Amino acid sequence: MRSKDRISYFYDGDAGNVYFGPNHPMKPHRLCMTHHLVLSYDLHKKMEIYRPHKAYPVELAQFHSADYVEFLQRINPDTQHLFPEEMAKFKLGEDCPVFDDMFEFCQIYAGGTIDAARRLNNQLCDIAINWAGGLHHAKKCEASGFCYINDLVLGILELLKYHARVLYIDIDVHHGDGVEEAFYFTDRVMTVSFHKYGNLFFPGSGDVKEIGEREGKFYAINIPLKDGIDDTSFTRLFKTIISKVVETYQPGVIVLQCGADSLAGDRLGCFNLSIDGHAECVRFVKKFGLPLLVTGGGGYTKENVARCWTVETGVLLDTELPNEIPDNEYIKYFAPECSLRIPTGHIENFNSKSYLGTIKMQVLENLRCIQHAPSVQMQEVPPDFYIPDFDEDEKNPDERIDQHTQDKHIQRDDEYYEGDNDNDHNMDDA
Amino acid sequence: MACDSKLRNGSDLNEFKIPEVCKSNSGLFVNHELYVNYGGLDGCADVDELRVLFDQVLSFFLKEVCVSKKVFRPFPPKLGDGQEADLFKLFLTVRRIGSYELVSENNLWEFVARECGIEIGLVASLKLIYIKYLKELDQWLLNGGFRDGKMENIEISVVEKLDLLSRQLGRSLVDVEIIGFEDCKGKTEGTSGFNQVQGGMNLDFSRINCDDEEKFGAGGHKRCELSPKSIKKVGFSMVNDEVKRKEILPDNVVMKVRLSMNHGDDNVLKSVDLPVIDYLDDDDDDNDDVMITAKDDDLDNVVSRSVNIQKRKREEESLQLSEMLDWLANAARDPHNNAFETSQRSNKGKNFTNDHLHKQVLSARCALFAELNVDLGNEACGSQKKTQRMHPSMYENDRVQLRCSRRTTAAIPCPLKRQQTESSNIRTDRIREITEPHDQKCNLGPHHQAEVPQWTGVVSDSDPKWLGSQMWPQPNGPYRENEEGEMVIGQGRQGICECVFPGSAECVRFHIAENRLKVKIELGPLFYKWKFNQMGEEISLSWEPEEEKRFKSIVIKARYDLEHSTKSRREIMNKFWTKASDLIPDKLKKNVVSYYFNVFVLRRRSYQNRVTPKEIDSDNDEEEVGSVGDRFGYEKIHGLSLKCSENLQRTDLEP
Repeated sequence: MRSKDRISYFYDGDAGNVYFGPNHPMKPHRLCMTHHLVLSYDLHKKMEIYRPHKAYPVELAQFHSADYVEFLQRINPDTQHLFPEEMAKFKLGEDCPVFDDMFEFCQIYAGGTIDAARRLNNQLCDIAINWAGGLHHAKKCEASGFCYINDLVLGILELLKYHARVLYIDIDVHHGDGVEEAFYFTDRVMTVSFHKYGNLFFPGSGDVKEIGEREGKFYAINIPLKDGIDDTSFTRLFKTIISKVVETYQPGVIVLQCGADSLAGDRLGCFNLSIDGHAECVRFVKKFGLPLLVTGGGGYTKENVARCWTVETGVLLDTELPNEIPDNEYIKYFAPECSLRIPTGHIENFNSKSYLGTIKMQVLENLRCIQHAPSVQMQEVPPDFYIPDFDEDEKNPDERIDQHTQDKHIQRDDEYYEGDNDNDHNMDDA
Repeated sequence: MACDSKLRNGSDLNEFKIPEVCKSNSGLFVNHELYVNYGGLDGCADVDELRVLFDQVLSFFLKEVCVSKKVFRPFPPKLGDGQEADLFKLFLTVRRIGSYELVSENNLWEFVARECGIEIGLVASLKLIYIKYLKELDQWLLNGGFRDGKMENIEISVVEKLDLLSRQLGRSLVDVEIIGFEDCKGKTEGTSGFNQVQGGMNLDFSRINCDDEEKFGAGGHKRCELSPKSIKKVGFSMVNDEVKRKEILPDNVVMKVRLSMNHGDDNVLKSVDLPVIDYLDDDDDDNDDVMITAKDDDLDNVVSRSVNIQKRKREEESLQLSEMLDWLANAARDPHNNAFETSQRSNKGKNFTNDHLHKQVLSARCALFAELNVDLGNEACGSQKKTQRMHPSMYENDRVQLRCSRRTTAAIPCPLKRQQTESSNIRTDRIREITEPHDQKCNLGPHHQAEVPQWTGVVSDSDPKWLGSQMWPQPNGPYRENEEGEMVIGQGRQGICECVFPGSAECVRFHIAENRLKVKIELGPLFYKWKFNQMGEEISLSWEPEEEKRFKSIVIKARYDLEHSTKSRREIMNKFWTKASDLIPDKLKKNVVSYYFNVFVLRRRSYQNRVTPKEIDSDNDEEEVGSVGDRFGYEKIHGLSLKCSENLQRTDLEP
């Protein structure tokens, strides 16, 4: 029951309190519920929990265009009517409304993923979790599908500073189009997305034939699925493809987007996965033993999102969670059964064996093309020498020890870790 | 259709077996693909004539019908690039495939564009033009709209022209639908005999020629370009329902009858194969053969559609489905048959029986097409599940999309993620897609991709300054020793408690409070940093009962407005928030939102848990019923006596 991995978990209480507006399916409050449930199961005792820094506009502009970031920062619900052109240009409105504290919300979730990537880079942890992140639709110059800032792209860019190859896996019910598009021309990032495709399902992209272009050809993998896929067929397909991908591509680090809208009974999704099936994918990815960045994503039935991500936090901690949810403030959300497992849906599975077989064959066929034409050195990065960076104007050295100020400022954990044995106690094997 | 139809090789479809069951049965259940190959126009003269007629009718239609509906359609319509669209060709092509719905569902617009000699990039505007100009015309012709009372003042000549057109179209296109349907309408309740039947029947039309499949795929286009001869690809199924119109009963039916051909029989193979080849080779071949080819192949995809045919008059009962099927088989077997020809020529019905049967077939088809998309995905067709049902998208993928390039499939993006929740919007969204064509191409370029530096093998600096601030374990927290010892995590709910009434509201409340306290002690200052103090119903304690009441009232008001008012959602919600800040001046918007999720929704849930456990939905903001209860445990805190208020709430919340 003891995890050997060092787990960093990112949470900021402010992210869960924003409100996209009435009847908007995206409810950040699910983050509060998730965190609450994680704590109810005492999972926090086995990991380190961090409050992410709020990503600076300049950090967001590593991927996004500066004018877009600037506009996001500037706009608020009271002034949005003054900028109809920009609103249309950046695709704000409809799906991506402007709401109070929107930019701060973006900064928090993006900061979480970036911090997570940095901690992995600096080998301060083996697995980093940011359930607030995973907003995979956001494009370079526009918002899309409830996503404003693409934290995944920012996180991957950060990881690319230390790793030659990054593998991105997406099990959200929607196609991870933003991430795929961002890395469509590069072989340094392989994107693998399992999603529902067809019948005008959002975002409309993600055919198996979209495989990347130029250097990135064959480095984008899409597994289009149909309604109602169940645990058995999904996990089997997932394992076959992912193990082949890892074997072929030899990534230095894996980013896993765990959108919970692929669960049965989601308000927007149409798959039939149980929480166990979903978590099985996480378990499988964890087993590769590579540095792992886990993010959230979609998920529009709040209770199930909280359940799913709690179970998956447990999986990453190698902890099996009992089915009965301990009493907590939000227990009523989980009533009347108050259990972790959810009943599977009754959607008919339209994925025939032959269909899945065809998809699998095609994907494996494309993977073979990589083996014969490796354009990236298939060697892992030389060991990373981490030099703590002292930033004089940031803090007075004496204050670093003062724990109370640590929250007010972003702390240099490196120092703390180097000087103290603090982090050992947490993942000891004793 | 094919007045002088003859099947040159006289394909022998003797292998068609109609089992006995079929004869005693009724209801038609055709499941599988039915390929109908129709003869086209005899020569160019005909096409020209038809085009002239079509132009006349169209201009008449646009003038009369559209003007009466007060819509203005500029003429001639232009495509996105300024090129004029050939409406006639477009109309003809779509007719060939079947109907607008069929084209859309099977993603055949690209094909249509190619047929019309239009660039793929203009598919969207082509589709738009069809919708704007021709869809109604098509419907109008199909429904016999011109026979309407309204149109009586129209000059006879025009009607005649229309008739002529429709007949010619029908002949050239295969589709005698028009005539058939009119006839069907003419009789009060419809004439199809096969729908008196109790059960359903499943016919598998087996297509023998497997090669043909590929021809349809690859050679199909070419053939269509060469001659107006057309191919019709349809898969359908039909369910008959005695009880209600337009409703499909799951328990309806189903006897499966296979009209299958013997695959082992070489003769048959040949005989059916030949006409197709002749067709291709002989350009002067003027036979308008009716050839029904179907394929029995498990891999073959099937689009099943169920259609419920109206209930017909009792007097028609004598006409059995089997009779019709016999006729159909005969017609297929021997298209030279006079009876068959007569039936096609005469609308007046000299040869009543044959004519009648003929119409039955046509009206059946007509009905099938008319309702093709109505019951798409209708789960009520339980009977379908027993057959080889395939999801429409399956069909689309395996059959059609293989032919389409990646670009086209990617060119139909779905603009709204949340549209799945608002099904009523889908139609409009689709139209918007058409008007705003996307191309994957525009997603490539410096405005879309991230800048990824080449891997040099040298680790570049990752800014280590911002790694997040550690919250837990609390660096100098008091509970560090715990981690050294044996630590059990991930425990579930404790099974046994010592409360007087385990499971009661008091008990649950007690345990929640107990756990909260435990967490609070453990987390110390973190409790506040993680905003645990702002979680749970606890926060309602900082709200005055008066404030809660006001909040409740404006929620009810907003909900009512959303349902009944014509104002936009944004307007209503803006009003809601202004009102909220007016009525509850002490609370920031943040607090109100937090109250909403932590108290309001929670109470709704607790109400739902108790009253409607089957319809729990905490994610729907609009359909809140009975959500506004008393504070949970309010009585406990304030020492009020218990009162049962739920029912009251329910009634006063009902809009």
